[in-house]
Amino acid sequence: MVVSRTGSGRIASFLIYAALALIAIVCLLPLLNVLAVSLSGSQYATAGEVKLWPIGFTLSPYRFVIEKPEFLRSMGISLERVALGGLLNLALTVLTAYPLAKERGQFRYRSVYVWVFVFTMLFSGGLIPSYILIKELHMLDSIWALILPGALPVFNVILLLNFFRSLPKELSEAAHMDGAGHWKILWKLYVPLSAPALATISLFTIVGHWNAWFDGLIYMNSPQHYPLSSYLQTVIVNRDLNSLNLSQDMQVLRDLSDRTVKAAQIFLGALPILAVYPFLQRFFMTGIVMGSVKE
Amino acid sequence: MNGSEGDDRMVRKWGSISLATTLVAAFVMAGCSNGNTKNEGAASASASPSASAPAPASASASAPASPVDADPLGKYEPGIELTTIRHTNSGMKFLNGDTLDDNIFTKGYQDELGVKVTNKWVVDDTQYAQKLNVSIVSGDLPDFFEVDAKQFQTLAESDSLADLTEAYDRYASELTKKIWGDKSEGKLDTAMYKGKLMALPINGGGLDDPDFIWIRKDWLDKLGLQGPKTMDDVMNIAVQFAAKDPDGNGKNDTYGLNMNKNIWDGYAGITGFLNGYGAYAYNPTNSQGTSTFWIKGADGSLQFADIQPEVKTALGKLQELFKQKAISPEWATMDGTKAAEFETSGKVGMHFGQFWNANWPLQDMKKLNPKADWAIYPLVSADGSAAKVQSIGYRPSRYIVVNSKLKTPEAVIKLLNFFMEKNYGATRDENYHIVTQGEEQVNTFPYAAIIGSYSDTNQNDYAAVTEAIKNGDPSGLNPTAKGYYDNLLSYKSGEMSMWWVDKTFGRQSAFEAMAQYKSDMNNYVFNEFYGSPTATMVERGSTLKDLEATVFTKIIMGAAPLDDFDRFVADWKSQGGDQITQEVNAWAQATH
Amino acid sequence: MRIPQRVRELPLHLMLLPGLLFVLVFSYGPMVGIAMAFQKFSVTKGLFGSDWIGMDNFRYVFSLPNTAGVIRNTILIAVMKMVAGLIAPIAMSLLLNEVRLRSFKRIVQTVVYLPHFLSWVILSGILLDVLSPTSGLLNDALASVGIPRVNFLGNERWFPFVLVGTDVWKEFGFGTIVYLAALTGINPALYEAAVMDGASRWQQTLRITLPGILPVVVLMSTLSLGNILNAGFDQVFNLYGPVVYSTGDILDTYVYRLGLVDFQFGVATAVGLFKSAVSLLLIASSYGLAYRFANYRIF
Repeated sequence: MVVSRTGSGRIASFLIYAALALIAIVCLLPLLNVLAVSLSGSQYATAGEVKLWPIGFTLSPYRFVIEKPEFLRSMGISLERVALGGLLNLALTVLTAYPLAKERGQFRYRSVYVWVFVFTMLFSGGLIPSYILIKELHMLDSIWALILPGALPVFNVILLLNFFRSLPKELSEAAHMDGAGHWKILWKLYVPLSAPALATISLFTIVGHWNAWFDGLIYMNSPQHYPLSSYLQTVIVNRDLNSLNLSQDMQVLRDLSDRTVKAAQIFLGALPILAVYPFLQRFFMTGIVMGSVKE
Repeated sequence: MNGSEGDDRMVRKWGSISLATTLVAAFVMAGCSNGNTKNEGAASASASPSASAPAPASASASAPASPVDADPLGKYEPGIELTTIRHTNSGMKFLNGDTLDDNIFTKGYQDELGVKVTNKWVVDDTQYAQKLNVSIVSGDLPDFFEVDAKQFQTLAESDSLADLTEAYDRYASELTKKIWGDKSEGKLDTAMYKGKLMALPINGGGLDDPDFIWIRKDWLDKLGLQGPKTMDDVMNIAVQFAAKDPDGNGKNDTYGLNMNKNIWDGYAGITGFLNGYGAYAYNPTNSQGTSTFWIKGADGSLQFADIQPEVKTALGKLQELFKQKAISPEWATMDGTKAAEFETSGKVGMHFGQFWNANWPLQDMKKLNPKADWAIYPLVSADGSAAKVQSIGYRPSRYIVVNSKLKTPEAVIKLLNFFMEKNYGATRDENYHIVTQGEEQVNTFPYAAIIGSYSDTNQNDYAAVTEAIKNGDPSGLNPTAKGYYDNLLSYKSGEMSMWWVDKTFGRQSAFEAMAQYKSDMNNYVFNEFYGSPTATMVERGSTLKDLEATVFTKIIMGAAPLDDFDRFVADWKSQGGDQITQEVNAWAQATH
Repeated sequence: MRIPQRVRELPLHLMLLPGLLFVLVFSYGPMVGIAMAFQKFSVTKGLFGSDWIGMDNFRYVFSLPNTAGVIRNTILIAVMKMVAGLIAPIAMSLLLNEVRLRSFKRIVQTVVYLPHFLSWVILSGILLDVLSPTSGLLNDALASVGIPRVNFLGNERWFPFVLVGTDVWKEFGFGTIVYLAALTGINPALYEAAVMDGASRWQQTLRITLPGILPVVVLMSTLSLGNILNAGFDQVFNLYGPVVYSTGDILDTYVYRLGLVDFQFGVATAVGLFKSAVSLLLIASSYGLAYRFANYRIF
């Protein structure tokens, strides 16, 4: 990628920059809308007048949200979940991907293992048996119910094993010659060289844990133990206006249809995860400098 | 694609939305101090106890007509333990330090009845049905719990429920019996399975859920129109609202009639419009096609309300309105929340909906446009006679059931007696109802594991408040009604946030119109079928419901000719409807 | 001294052990539940006591009049999403790859993945505004250049394409992450050599960049085949209505409305099993094809 000095190159560059800028704007709009709504007076928000700029600017939705014990408590649970679950996912993914990245000649049972794992991506026993299992393991209402069942993300394993395989074979062969074992090769060679891949799967893992809400609702026995996404689900879900069954407090509906508070919660809920990205982004930018590795 | 794979899969299977939750009820309590409360009572009737309810049946509830050993409020020595499950929502307020696990009711159960009630789990309203289903199928059931009709049926069929016949006979207090009625009549009817009482209905009996016509009064005045007397007037108002720029902004951007894509909703649905033409269709979009409405035909047999010719007439009128641009072209893509925003932003001047519509969503509009004023009219008919209105909530839809494994099913009856006694009995105690904490009034009665209810609380409160205002004397009011009274006064002194109380309980309010409905029970049309969903309903119901929803929507939008209705009727019959009709009539014959 | 292969492989087995344990307990354990697909599942009898009814659950689902149309919708929408969801992120990554202004690249990268974090419940509200035939931004734009307004969400013909378009918009940014990581793996020396040979940027892209990320592209397309019957429940559920059932109703929303969420676990499991089996078939055959014809092992 060297600067091209031709005129057509410059036009192409300009077009690329323009296209990207346009795409970025289109992607930014909905979030800006949510942000603007969260900072607006609720009457303007309800009337659908707020587009990209707050009307009747106020911070009171944020004050309301921050003062809600549920919100901060569930955010704490989510952070705990991401930390514990993310580390476990990452460790298991690396451990599992390494042997599976070997060629069949080096590891005879590789294909069997791969299919054992891939099969779980496609087939699942469903909700009921999973629930019974968690119950029998006495993990209901515990954060482990949110972490252990998905401890090994097979999709990430497959991504990582492909990255591992794309590393030059000579490297590990040379290390073998020097008497390094599998463990040493994995930790000292593969892991440092796979920074972009590891950043990718870390991001997937973190986002996955942060966004997962259904397991929280099913496995937790009280709203006090909900992670943030489960809590938000109860806030943003569209309630049926059908005159059936359960009674529903009007105040809840009014709170819930207060778009500004909803928007503030959504924005705050996405904020931590958005903050993580720039840190991981570094790895997508740098990449492997093959030349220096080879020497 | 990432770590939430498993969740996604479950979600797809289970859907991400709520069970059908209703607004009909509970709203009234929220009004005490503008929404510090939560009420878990019955649909279509407030669960709020009320001083204007009938006086206690006897001076003391401990004078049972039943055998001596059966004391309705007798204490267990030594104490026993019961487990249950609860649903809650963010509107529920607690006294300092209280929780659903530990509050005045759990203490009362423990101290006075010797019953320790513990919650196996607590979940948000919207997730209750789902989590309960998982518990049921996993065999992880508490001792007693709340179910809907379908869950009740499934559990009863699988012999999972305790027979309450004897326990109710012997242990229900007179007060309880007076309100629940005898087994042979009233709402207990729907809780019978094979001749045995298998559940306690906790709602039903209410008459509060028919639609009204909500119209922008300021628009009527501006265009010099009168309130509707006939459905033709309704049509005319809708067309004028769309054509004559009632908001005076010089743009052709208003509509006459607001609708949302879930056409059977209690807000901006079509129920009231259909009632005006003598049509009583009902088949909610997000249900499984098993909650249908049946009326008595000329020959005395039960007939599916949705295939009657009156429905065709009404749909034709809606199509007419749509074609005249009196209904938004987007209605079929807007859900209730979206339709509400459309209306509160001043784009549309009329909708059909239930009494709580003033509280939500119309109250929101007062913030935006204080000049907007709404008038509430009782439904009108095509020929100007009083329209017969449809009540769906008259039949119970929620039940308390008892696990067949429980050795002491009568303990559950005692919990109910306890609630009734503390709220309506001779030893009535306000601490079990509403407690004032600082500025707030906190409802404590929703903490009860079983909530009993009167049906006509809202109406009684309306009458009492009206009377008190006339006399300027609120001293006879119960705390709830006193709350409304205070709110009405503060509205009159300019407190706009209490506008909805005026529209609900004040002059020319929803309950004034409701009183008109209630003046004669013949004004009401009730569902004649209140048995469990029949076999073919379960098997074909959702397919037939989809067919109906599609055809109705397309007809209204003019995307299908009105005569497609006839084809729908034929399709409905041939695809299982005839079978369902037979089953329903077989039920009717067995029951009556 | 030659160490037996078995011994050399031992550490590899040990590495797999923890992951394997988790999968066996938490994934294979609950799979006994698949048996429900062949049972008339009864709440009280449970998984081990319910009656076996063979293929009746499958027969029931396929006997329903709408099933064929729904499966057609599902496949159509899912395939369009798969193709578009593959091309868009790749194109985006290639564009980003051409950007040398680091800060610009970083900002664009950060911004395009934002929509991924808004749920469909929220986005549906925003989309309803944007796509509104009377006041929506898009229709206003169309009208200003003389194109008649379209009721995107209320029109049977348009609805599937709206689903695909909005899905791509929401997910393509997040989808670039894998390809961006792959791009970093390309040896810069290759570009230097190409420039020496006078290759244009377009030629560099075709000859170096694309082949460089090809393995990842093949991998991602294969894995996406597993979604052939997943057309996106949350999205469709929040955007559709009876008026677009004929083209917009997908297997998951259909099953949802069938009431399988309640107690017909046998039927629900049968539908799930059907979906899984089709996915397995597609993934296995593409795995086989890649191996046989390209001697390339996808995973």
